[in-house]
Parts: sequence; C-alpha cells; structure tokens
Amino acid sequence: MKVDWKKSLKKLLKQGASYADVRYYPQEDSSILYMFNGNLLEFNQQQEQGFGVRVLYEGAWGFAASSDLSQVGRTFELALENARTAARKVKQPVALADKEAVRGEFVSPCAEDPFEVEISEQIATMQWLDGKLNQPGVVNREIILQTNRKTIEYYDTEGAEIRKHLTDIYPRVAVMGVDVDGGMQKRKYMPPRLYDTRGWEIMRRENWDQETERIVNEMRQLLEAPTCPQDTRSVILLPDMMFLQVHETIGHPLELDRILGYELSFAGGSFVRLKDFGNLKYGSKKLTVRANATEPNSPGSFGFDDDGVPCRDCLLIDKGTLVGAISSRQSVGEANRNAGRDIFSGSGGAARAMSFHRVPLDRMTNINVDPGEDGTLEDIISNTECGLVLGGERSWSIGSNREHFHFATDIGWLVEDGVNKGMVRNTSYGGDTLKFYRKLSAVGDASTWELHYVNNCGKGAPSQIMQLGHGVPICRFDQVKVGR
Amino acid sequence: MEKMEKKITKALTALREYGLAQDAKFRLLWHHENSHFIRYANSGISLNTSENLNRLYITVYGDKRLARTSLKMDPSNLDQMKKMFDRALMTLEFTGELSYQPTLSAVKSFNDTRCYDADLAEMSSDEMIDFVEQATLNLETDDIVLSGNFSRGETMLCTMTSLSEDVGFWAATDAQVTLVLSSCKNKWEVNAEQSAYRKKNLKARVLHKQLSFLVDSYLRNKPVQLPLGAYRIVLGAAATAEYLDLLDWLALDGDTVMRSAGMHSKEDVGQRILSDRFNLYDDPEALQTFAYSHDLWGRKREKLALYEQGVYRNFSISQELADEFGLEANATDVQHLNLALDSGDWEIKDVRELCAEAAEGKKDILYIPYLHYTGVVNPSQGLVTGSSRFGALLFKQDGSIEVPYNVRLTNKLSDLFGSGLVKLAQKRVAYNTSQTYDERNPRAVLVPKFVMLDDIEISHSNNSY
Ligand SMILES: [Zn+2]
Repeated sequence: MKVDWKKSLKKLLKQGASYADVRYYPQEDSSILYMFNGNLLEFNQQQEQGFGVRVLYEGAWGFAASSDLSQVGRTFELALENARTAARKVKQPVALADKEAVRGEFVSPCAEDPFEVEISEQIATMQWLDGKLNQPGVVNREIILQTNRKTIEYYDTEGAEIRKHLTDIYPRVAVMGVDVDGGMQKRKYMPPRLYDTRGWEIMRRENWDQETERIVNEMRQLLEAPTCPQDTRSVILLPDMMFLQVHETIGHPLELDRILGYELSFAGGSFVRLKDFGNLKYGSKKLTVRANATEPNSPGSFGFDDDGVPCRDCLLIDKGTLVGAISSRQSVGEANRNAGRDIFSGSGGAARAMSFHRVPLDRMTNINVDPGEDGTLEDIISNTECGLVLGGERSWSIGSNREHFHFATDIGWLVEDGVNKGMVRNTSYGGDTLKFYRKLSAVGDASTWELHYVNNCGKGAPSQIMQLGHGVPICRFDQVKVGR
Repeated sequence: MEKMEKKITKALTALREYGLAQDAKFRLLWHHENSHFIRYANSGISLNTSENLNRLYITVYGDKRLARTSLKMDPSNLDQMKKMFDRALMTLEFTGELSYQPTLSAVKSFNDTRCYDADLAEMSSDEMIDFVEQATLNLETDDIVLSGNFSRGETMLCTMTSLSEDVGFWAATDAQVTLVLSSCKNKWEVNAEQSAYRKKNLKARVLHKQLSFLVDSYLRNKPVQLPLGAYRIVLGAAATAEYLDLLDWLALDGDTVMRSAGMHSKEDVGQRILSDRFNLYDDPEALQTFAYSHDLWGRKREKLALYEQGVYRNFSISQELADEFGLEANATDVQHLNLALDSGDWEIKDVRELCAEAAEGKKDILYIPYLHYTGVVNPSQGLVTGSSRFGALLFKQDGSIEVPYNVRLTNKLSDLFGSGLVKLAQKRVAYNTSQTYDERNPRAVLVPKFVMLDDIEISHSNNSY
C-alpha cells in the first residue's frame, strides 16, 4: 500500500498543528540465535512494519503509532487528538532548536549483509564456535548472534525527507565454570570494532580463534584464583570495562533531557545543572570526551537522527571541563531558553527512537574518550604502586542522578609495585562520579583504544532500548574502594 | 474485546489451515495490545501517546528441532503471516539437531478474561489527566514539580496448535500510575504509585495522601547523610517487589536454576533457605498480579508454593525446559509468574505509624520505599545492590523524623529474607513491575505493604540527593 505521508502531514498543519513528523518502517528484520551447550535453543527471525507520527500542538506533543497501514488516517488523527489533550497542561511550550531541512540518505557500511548469509552458514559458524569453547573445565557455553536490518523513511512538516538503511550485528560468546567455593564464574567476548564496516565480516573465523582460547583459559584460571581484596587502591580499567564506566557515569548524566528533568519519574535525573556547562571540573586534565556519531562503523552512527538532523561530532568534556551535552532539537531549545543564553549551538543530532512505535529521546551516539599519552597497559602497570586491573562488566548499579556507582567485573589482576601479581575473582569497585574522574591519572595511547558496542541501553517511558558505541582507551583511576 | 477476539481467532484459524495443508506441526501465538501512555515532566504533559500493535509468534516443530519466527504486522495481512510461516518451516531443516525432542501438545481451550475491565479499556486521555490532577491537587509549586506517567492498556493473547481446533484466549486491562514530586532547588524527590486491573480500583485520594505526607516530611526536615553501619530497615511495597523480582530471576526461573546461573540448583529444593516467615507463591487467583488461570498450553494453573516457611519448594518449569532436562512442566508457561508473598501479623496501615514503632522498639527505623537501578553483584551468592530513592525517611526513637540522602544497600537475598526478616504487614498491595521495553505484558507482585528487616548494612551513603 502506497501512502502519501507528506500529504497526511500537511493536513495536520491545516488542523492547527505547528509541527509534525512521521517515521515509516517499510520493513525491519531481526534475528536472534542462541546456542547453549551446543543446543540451538533460540532461532527466532522477526519482521516488523509500521509507522509513528509525532505532532506538536500549542507546545505539546502527541504521538500515535500503528502496525496497521489501513489505519493511517485514524492514527494521524489520534496523534493530533493526543497533542490537543496534552495541551491542557503545558508549563513550558516545546520550542525546537532551528535546523536545516535536509533531504538525504544514509546507508550503514556493511561488507557482507548478514541477512544474505545462508542460515546453514550462520549455524555452522556457531557450531564451530561452540566446538572452540567446549573444553575441560567449562560447564556452560553460550553463543548469541543478533542481527538487525531496517529501512526508515522520515518526513517532517519543515520539508525534511530522509531515507536510512541500517544493518548491524551483535555476536557474543561466553564460558562458565564453577570455582573452588561453588560460585559460577564467567568470561565472555563481544568483539569491539574490527573493520570500518559493520556486517557479517566480523564473524570471520580468524577474528575468533585467539579470543575464544583466551576466555577459556582465563575462566579456568579464575576458578582457582583468590578473591578480590577489600581495600582502597588504583583501578586500571580495560576497554571492555571502561566502556560501561563511561556509559553509565558520563553518557547518561550528560543526556540533556535527563538534565532538564524529563526522566525523573523513571531512569532518573543528573547531578549536572545547566550552569555547569563551561565550568564544571568533571575530571582531571587527562579526560577529553566526545559524542561522535560520525564513526564509520558503529550502531551509534546513523546518518541523521529522528529529528532529521545530520549526525555530528560534539565535544562533551574538554581536558576535564564540561562543555557539551547529548542533545536534540527540543532539549537544546529548552535549555537555551531556560539558561537565558545559547549554551548549545543547535541540536546535537541525538534524538533517537527504538522503533516506529516509540518517540525519540536524547540518546547516546558514540561516547568516546580520546586516547592519551600514557602508553600501553604494560606502561601503566609499571608505574602503578598498588592497583587492580579490571575487565568484563558483570553487574552495574548507579545512583539516580548518576552521582555514584557500583560495578562488579568478570576478572581482575592485582598490581603491586609496578608488577602484575596474578588474577583475582569476584572483583568489584565503586565510588562517586566526580571524585572518581578527578582521580584519572593515566590514559592509554591510541594502541589501547577500542570501540565497543552496547545493544541494550534502557531509557524512557514507555521504555526503549538503544544501540550505540563507546571508543575508549585503558584508563587508571586512583584511590578507589574495591572488593565490596 | 469480543470484536478483536473474533478477528484474531479468524486469522489464526486461516493460518492454521494453511499450515496443516503443508503437513506442519506448529503452534501459533497472537499478541494484541492497545496502549495509551501519558507522561509528565516539569509539571507539564511531555508526551501523550497511543499504540495499537499486533504480533504473531510462530513455532514450528520437527524431529528434534524447532524454529521460530515472529512479526509485528497489519492484522488483516494474511499473506505476510503466511510468508513468515513459510520462513519458519524452511529454516527448520537448518536448525541443527537438539539433544532432546521438544514436545508439541494440543492447546486445550480456555478463555480467561477475569482481569479485563471494559471501563478501564475505554478510559480517555481527559479522565487520565483529571485523575492525576486530583492526586496532586495543590501539591505543585514553583519549586515542587510533577513528573510521572499514567499508563493504561489492554493486552490479549490467543493461541492455537496444529494438533487441535482448540483456542486459548487471555485478555487483561491494566493501569499503572507513577507520580513523582521533586524539588528543583533541593533535588529531593518523592513518589506514589498505583496499579490496577479495574478502573474502580484507581483511587486518586490514596495517592494524594501519600504524596502530601512525603512532601510535608521533606519540607519540614533537614536532610542528613546517614553514617554507614547496620540499620533496622522497613521496606515499602516497591522495594520489596524489586527484591522479589530479583529473587524471581535468581531463584525461581527454571532456566536460571537448571543452567546454574543463579542462587539455587535443583538439589536445593526441600532445603530451608529463608526465614520461616517467608511464604511465596505463584498464585493464579491473585488477580491484582494480572493472573493467568491457564498456562499457554491450556494447562489449568494451581497455586504453586515457591518458598514455604522459608523452604525452597519449586521453580518454574516450562515445557521446553522440561524437555531439555527431563523434568515435568508445572503450568508456568506464562508471560510471568503471579507472585504473591504472604502477609504477616504486623498491624500497620500507614507509614506514619512507623513513628510509634521506632519509639516502642527503641530502635531507629530507616524506611526505604523504593530501590533504584538494582544489579546482581554475584548471582551464585544472590548478592544484589541498589540505592534508595523516592522518599526514604529515618524514624527516630525520640519521635522525630529525618530525611536521609540516598543510601546503597549491597546484601544477599538470603540474608535480607533470612536472618534479617523480622515481620511482615497484614495488609497487602499489588505493585506493578511491568517492563515496557517492547510488547505490553502487564505484571505485578502482591506484597505486604511493609516488611521489617533487622541488622541490614548500608554500603554507601550519599552526601546529596
Ligand atoms: Zn544505558
């Protein structure tokens, strides 16, 4: 069925709307394959289609979505009706930051489309991986392969017309074993960026040979390793832990809608206030962070956001000082108005919706830490007096304003007087966000920088999950409480 | 509801015939939702949204094989459904052999609409906004702003298999109201919540009373940073429900148990794990939890003891898990268990009564109504962490009240509900634990309104809200 979206949008303007946009997903395909101890327990292929329309009426948002294309007229009416009712209670009318109405197209770079790979080959790859993991000492083996491909058409009443075609793949393997105290230990591997593309090429066997062997060996050693001490020391976060630290304590608190109080009833707020931009000492001078949605090959890069704004590279923290936020047209418009000055120059291009039936929120893109000048892991260990190297996120719990945090990790290694003293298990650490980043004392060089993907970041109500990236080097933080 | 039920049954019957013509063995599950959500922020409505969605889940069975496809679709587009059916059938041969034979049994007809209320299904945006206005009347100021949401909707599940013409149908309506009042200047935040499956169970004045008390307490009293140490803690319904949700995952979910990914192994059944005051059931008669009379195979559900007097009795065993591990399924192939924690003999109706309780017990009481962002630090040990949020209060022995900055609790579930459990309130409430990440599947836990725990350590104490 061919729908004239632009005509439907124009009708909304005639009926009194001040702005409207529609996102139409002609087809979204995804698949989840889950193998546990050699059994393919989950082989689920999903397909969806539908559209969502967002309407601004007297400064209030209304939204409606349907998977039923015969209901376009009714759904557009319902979105306007919803906006009209919402206009009953408007304290600050929505003001969208200006943008250029672009016409464009974005295709995510992909050497081998995972949806063109024969199912038999996908399963054979998983079986091969399972064989690699099936070693003595391994009690449970898990292999997860998630793929997604979608086309999104975007139109708005300001004249934007955008077509996006996004393909992503998220593979993960894990091994588990029972330690000397009867506890379950786990090591996992989710490959960071390996190529400048984001397709099936990541599954080439040469990418997995050494990594599967490494996690099996590490897991075996963990089973007999001593437990993590409870004390205060430096922590050296490997990229497969550092990405989550950045995600939870830089990414989320710098989402501008959170700062403005739009997530207070669920996800939480932020300790950051508008007056902090340009002033707040977020971390030591070694900390420079950006929201870079122009990385070629991450799910955090998508060409144009769901406000129709082209992706940007925005500086968030400049040598320790807070300078920017993760933002959209609405949040920038409101923040600048509330502050009485232009803190932000235009939208950060980070309005993103999970699916056709959810509204866009301020979302992370690729929240990256610039590499530093403190060398390799070996260099950092060699000048650490008393430390703990940590890798592999295991659990996370963060204060509602992101002011404090507690993380457990899969693995750790003690460092004494510049020497690696061996592995420890049941590792954890916690602290206060600002104190922690102000004690950032070493940042690894570009050779330690890895881009990791997150495919399940939760936010919003109704809830949404989102896919994004974090490019991070190895980092050391001093005077951190560990082992609790 | 009846109209939609007919539409779904008709489409499923047609698809079933298509599948039978190909000699396939399969099961079909249709999910329909009609959702309405109003969100508040900064004392305004930040979003008013409606979603009307249909999803179809197809599982095809073969010799030691199964394959699944699913789609979100136009409910009248049978061709699209047939294509997805073909795809499931086509992939069956590639899926690789399982080490067991998955069981396909005929669904037995059932029709469970006990939790469906037409009044709630038809509640308008205006009525929802009026409700919120009553619940927050005169509580908003220039400094104290309202956030929150009013979510309501209807959910239908309809299932058929290739083995019979029987149809299993379940429908429910649900409402979840969360209202947060927060101070822009001082950054404190308090909340009140309500869950209902019938419109008449929504009570704005109850929410208003809760919010008034909390706002008043936070305005009158100075905030304190609590010293670290052990406390007598009283959990509110939200905090108890959050812990039970973690227990559900780490101890009651059969997948977790059989894959050794949580606190228990199968051999722990029959062992005393928790306090003898702790009685937890999967109760299909607990309608407030959006209950299922039958599981999705049409098996009649009975009240299932999970922990009885602290003894670990059962965990959920789905048909697929039973097939894989040679167990017997226990009618828990449902979207969620209907968790109900038995009440105790503690006569307490209202949070204000904790003042007298602290004086009588000669011990300060830290009231924690809500836990934010919990995480599992060590699944084998059942060690979990989370921080307090939304209106914690410290009731002092001398009758005064302090408002503490948030604190972090990092404890084992077996300590909290084992040696730590002192008493449970007589009155129970349903707390809504629905996840709205994708499809609407209303769920709630029935818990005592207050649960008292002793000697519980706080592991971190904030110096600001
Ligand atoms: Zn996140």
